[in-house]
Amino acid sequence: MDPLEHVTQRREFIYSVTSVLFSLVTFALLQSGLTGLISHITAFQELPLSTFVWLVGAEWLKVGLVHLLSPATVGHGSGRTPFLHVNSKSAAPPGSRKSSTVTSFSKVLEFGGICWQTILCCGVCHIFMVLFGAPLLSKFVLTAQFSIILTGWMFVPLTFTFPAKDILKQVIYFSTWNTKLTSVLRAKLRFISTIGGAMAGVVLIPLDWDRPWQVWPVPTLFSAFLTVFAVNTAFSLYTLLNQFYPWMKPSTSRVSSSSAGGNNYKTKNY
Amino acid sequence: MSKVENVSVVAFLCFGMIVGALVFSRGFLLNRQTIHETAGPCLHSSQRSLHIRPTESEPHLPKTVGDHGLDGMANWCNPTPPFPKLILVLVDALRFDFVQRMQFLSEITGKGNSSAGHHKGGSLTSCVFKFLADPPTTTMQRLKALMTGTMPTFIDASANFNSYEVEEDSLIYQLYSAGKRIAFLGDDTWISLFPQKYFKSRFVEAHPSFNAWDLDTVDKAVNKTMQEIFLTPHKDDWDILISHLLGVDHCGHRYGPSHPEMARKLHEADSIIKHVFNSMSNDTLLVIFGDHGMTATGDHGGDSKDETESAVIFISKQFYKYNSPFQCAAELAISQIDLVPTIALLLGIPIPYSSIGQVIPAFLQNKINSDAIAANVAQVNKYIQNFPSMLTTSEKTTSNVDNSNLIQQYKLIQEAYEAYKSFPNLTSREKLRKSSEMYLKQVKSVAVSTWTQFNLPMIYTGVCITFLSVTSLIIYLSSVPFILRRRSSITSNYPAKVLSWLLPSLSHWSVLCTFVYHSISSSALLGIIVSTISGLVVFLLFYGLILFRMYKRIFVGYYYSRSREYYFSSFISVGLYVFTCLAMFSNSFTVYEGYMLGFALSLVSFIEVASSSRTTTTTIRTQQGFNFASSSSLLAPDNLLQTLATRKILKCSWSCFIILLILVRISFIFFRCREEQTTCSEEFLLHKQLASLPEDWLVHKYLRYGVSLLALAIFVVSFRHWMIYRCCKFSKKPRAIIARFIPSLLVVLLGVFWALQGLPYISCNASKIPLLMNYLPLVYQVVTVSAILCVSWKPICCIGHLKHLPYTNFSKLGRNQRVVNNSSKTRVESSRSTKPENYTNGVGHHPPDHPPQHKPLQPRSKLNTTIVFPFDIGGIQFCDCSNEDTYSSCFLTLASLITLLLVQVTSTGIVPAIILQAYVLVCLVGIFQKPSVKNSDSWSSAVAWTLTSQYFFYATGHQPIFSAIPWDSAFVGGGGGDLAATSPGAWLSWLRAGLAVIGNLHVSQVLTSITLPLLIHWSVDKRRVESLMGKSERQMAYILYGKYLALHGLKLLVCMGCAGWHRRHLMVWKIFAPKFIFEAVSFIITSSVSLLGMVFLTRVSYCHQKYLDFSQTA
Repeated sequence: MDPLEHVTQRREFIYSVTSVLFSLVTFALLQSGLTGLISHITAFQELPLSTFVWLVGAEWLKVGLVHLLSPATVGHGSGRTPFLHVNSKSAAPPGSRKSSTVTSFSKVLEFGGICWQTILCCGVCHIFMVLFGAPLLSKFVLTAQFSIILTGWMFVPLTFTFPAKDILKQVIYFSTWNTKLTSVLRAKLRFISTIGGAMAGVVLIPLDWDRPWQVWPVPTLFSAFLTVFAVNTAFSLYTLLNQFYPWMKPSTSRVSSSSAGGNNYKTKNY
Repeated sequence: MSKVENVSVVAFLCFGMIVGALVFSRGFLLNRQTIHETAGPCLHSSQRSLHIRPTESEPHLPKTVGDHGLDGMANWCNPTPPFPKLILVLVDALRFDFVQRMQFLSEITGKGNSSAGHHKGGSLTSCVFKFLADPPTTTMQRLKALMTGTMPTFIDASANFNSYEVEEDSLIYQLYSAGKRIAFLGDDTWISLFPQKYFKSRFVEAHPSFNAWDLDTVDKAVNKTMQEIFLTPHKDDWDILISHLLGVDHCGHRYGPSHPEMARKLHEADSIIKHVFNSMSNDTLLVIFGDHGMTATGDHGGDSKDETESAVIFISKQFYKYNSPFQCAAELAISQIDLVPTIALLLGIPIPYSSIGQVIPAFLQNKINSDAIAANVAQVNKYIQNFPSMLTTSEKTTSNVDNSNLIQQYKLIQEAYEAYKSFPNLTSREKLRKSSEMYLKQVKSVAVSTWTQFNLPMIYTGVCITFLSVTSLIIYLSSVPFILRRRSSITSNYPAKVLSWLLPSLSHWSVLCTFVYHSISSSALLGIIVSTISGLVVFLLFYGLILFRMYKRIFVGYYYSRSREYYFSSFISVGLYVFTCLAMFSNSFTVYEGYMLGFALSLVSFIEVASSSRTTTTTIRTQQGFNFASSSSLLAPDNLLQTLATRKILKCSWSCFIILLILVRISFIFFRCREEQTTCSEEFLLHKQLASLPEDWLVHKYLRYGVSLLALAIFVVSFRHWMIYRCCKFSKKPRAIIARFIPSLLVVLLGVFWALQGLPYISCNASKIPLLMNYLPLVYQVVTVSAILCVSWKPICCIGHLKHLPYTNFSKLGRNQRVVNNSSKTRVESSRSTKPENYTNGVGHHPPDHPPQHKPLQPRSKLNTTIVFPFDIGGIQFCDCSNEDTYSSCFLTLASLITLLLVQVTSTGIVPAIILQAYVLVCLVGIFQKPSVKNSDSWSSAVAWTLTSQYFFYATGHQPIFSAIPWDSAFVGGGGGDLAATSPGAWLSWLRAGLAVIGNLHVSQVLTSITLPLLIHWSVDKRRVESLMGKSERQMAYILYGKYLALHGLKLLVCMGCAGWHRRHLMVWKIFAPKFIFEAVSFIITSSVSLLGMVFLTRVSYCHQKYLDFSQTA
């Protein structure tokens, strides 16, 4: 297995496990304060600050934890970076593939780029929500908060696979991701399921049950949260099984080999 | 042959779906059988002749009647009718609160209070009641109910402007047979409901009512005749005077209830009533009533409180010393059907046979009250004996309320009546009154629930037919490409040949069958059902046989012929579409369907953008696979399968997608509200015509005018520039000139027309303007329609330049030398399928098979990369890319002309939405373009197209409810004045008006259906040699049409299912039934326009082929 692939998997595993833990804690907290949360949302048209900070801060905490436990160090040289990095300028033609991990010099620059990217992602998320039918002005704060939270859930896992500096660009080329790479496949699945989960919540909104939690964005927030929880659980369980049970191991290798083999087979066919 | 086969199969299956819907509606909407019996003759008069009849002074009937008991009372008439004369003044759409706005009426009814008593203690009696209508609140249904005393059936609602005669017993008939001379003034709906012979007076004046924008003509005429009628020489020419004032209703339709015009109309009606009151004799009963109310926007048809509550006022100058001719109970809401028995008893005629109304409680004088009640009950009972199902269902429905059914209750009343007969004291009277009141109430509630009696076998048959048609269409579509391909490869004796002759003949078969059955059993319906089902079964059998014989090859070929993305996006988008259909089972999703469809449309295009990698073939992938196998590294930039070309295409489709999202989001503001949407509000009344806006919205008017005109102008200009830019330099032929100049001319005309329409209100007094307003739309429509006819007869309007096209294009080739050099090689590639090696040197620069395909948004980029493949055919060089443009320009021309035609009948506020729809369609073409023609008929594009047509139904300001039908677009066409049924050209104006309403209602369906081939013809890359023939695209377009229609049919099927399933639902008449009706109509429109589009496509390809042949020989 590619060493980077291995590192990515480890980092993602740590992320998932911490996410599951955080989600469980959130569940425990929600159990007592769910009705209070919803009534706060309906009353003030914004998430309570504590909830918001908790959800967003958790994301940053998770990233920090991942960095602490397993920095993105790859093979030849280079320091410890929290995010994967590719010098995108040399990325043009497929013929000339020169990859370089980042040096510690460009860390500062990279950090700026990442901040930028985060803000951009939040903005894009918000705009898409509005374009898909969220109210434009009347619930601006709520939508913005939700978009920030959702950005964390959707884009942070992508940074394990793709360079954080141009995540959005990669998302635009979403359909061309090479899913033969297991990490990319994972990222794709994760991304799709998060979006799908968030969108599935929409179904509840038009129903005429007149419940307080049927108002935008509560159902989508909850469905996205549940999906993220489910995905993380599934992934950490999957990795755990792969890691600790030897009879699962050949299967993974078989998967990778079969994918490669299938590849060869296909090319032969053509 | 294949095109005939394709078109005829799709047409036949669509026909099957429509038949299914009609059969279903026959079972679902039909509810009450009419009984052609009449009441009477009057008991007292007949008994006077047959038996020894005591004098009329007897307060109740003699013992001789007692033999019959209560049953014999059915034909009882009031022996002392207080009024020999009756004046009915029907003020159309007299909402209950309007009474307070009418000075005279509110004065006479006691300061506008709902319960009114004796007026100033003077010689006058007046009562005012709330008058509750049963839905549907359309005028014809209300008239029927008001005159027969029954519930109108739902199916009549859809035949409103084609009103047929009342076949049941009615008040009019009873008056006629009692020898009263009826005079009539007003709406001609009455004359179509009741035969002319009933109106025996000299004064019968019927005026056409269809022109709802004409506030004054009918009322003025009525007023004039009214003056005349009360002059002394004519005073005795009539006994009954019915007058129908239309102005208030029309004013409501045009301006809404709170416009100053409404005050004027109400005042006019008031003064007419005042005149009538002042000049009527003492023994005349004056009844003023409304047939329905109106909503806050002035529409009606539904069952909201505002629509159903109107007012009824009884006025008489007579005032007996001790008892008035009638007495008003306290504040009371009476039902509309109660009018019939009350008037019948007040005039001393028998209660019409089919009335189920109740005499207004405690309304008649005391001495006859009990008899009246008994007569009422007896008559109702006699009538409902015809409906044994009603008596049995009542047991179920009322078992928990009071443990008795109608039969038992009737027995109770009989006992009470007997008791009353023997001891006519207060308690027995009271008992009779109470029990009968209960009985009649129950009859009414049972009638409401039972007369929505469904014909279940019909419902099932309809659903079955539609289901079969949809299924066979889907099976046909998913396998026909392979069969066709196979047939083209094998020319020997083959079962498909039988098929190809069989399939077109199916429709003939059904027509034949219908006629045969028609001649045998004289019921065309059965024939149609049998023929359709048998045709479907035959089709399925034969087609299944063919599939069975070659299923292996088909399915193998099926799987490998398509890419994985194709299956993925098709599966997801069809799944989404099925979800949007199934969501119709939930009433809240039906109510918010517009928003849901917009969301689904965005989502489907999102899935398409996010799932298709836009690599033309799998070559690049396999090439990358090699790279991956050799050295797999995450950090390698090319682990994402991106070449420059794919990046470019992806960027194009993403930008298309985002523009689509923005357009869809903007179009939310054009939504109309329906009653169930609680938080919705219509601020700008965008669906109203410019002329019917409030006076003080001046800025808004200007803004709307400007925005609409600007949107149209941009649309037309960009269309023309696009054509010019795409080298479609127009020739000098008339059709090319039409395509080029007529749209701009039309926009100018339309601008003038709108400006006139939006002029400050002049009450049609300026003499020239009404004339202009009548003829301008006519001119406009004639010009547009003739242009459309011309274009569709000779569709190819810019190929005339094709001969010279290579010349102009080759001048550009200097810049694109490299691309042209590649062209010959690419042709080789296309024939030899794909080989990775071919691409190794082609990766560095722009690969020739990825032209940027988003034309509408970045037209300039096209210039540099248009790949031109010169062909030598008979010495003339052809440009293949212009071949595509020839096709697409035809459709663009036709579509823009049709858009302009439809824009005229819609309201000005909606015009930007229609233009938005055109842009959305262009964006969809950009998103769903496929690199090769093979996959261009994907289900996902059909789904997106279908969703667009359904979504823009809402986004162009419509809702599937009856009060939202845009009737007013029938009058913007002008010429509404000559809608009288008598004039010889009447059917023409009726047709025009009807088409205008349908055109307004189904703008989006018409547009999407006609532009569907653009998906095929505007997208493919220019490499294909066979596109010169256009055959494969044409087949693809047919299949795409089929898919589009199949998806619409699926929706129709689900709507039928919903309506059938929820037939006892509380909301069925409010939500599900209207939804079904609108869906059925929209399917009929969609399928017919789609068939026209297919024919047009055939015509285009035929003309194109002819032209090519011509130039080949030349």
